[in-house]
Amino acid sequence: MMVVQETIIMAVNWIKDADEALVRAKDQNKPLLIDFSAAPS
Amino acid sequence: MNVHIKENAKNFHRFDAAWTPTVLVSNPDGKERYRLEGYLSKEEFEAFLEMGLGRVAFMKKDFANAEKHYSNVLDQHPDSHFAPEAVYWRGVSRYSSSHDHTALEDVAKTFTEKYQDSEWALKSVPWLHE
Repeated sequence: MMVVQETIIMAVNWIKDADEALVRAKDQNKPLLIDFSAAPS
Repeated sequence: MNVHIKENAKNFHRFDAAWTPTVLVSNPDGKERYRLEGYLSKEEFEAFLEMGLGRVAFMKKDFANAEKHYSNVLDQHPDSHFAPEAVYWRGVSRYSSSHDHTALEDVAKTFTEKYQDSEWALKSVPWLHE
């Protein structure tokens, strides 16, 4: 028997607009993760 | 939310981000609760996220949930850089909900056995004699 390990990479649907993200976090009463990046997209 | 320096530089100033990568965990009102500057391995990053959720819960005085998040760090990432901090805040969360001083003493005792060289061990020394 062979065990196959599969790596699943899930795409993150990032919100780019800060005001929209803040409104949605407040409306849904959920914490907000903010990623500041300079990496090429 | 993702903020790229070339697309939205003004938000770096808005959230006091001075370096990349910077990752913030904020409460639902947008108030910063936990910050990472620099890269981490996947394992460490998972621990960071759990620490952030713990901090969000703690600052909301949801101490039971905070304790759960800190316990998750210790159960799932016991060798993480964040583990000593999780021991500390798990104990403080327990104390905050129970007002039982032995919760703090237990923290200090834990640091006599594990993570002795961490700054969190130093911070808990006074609790050994409570």
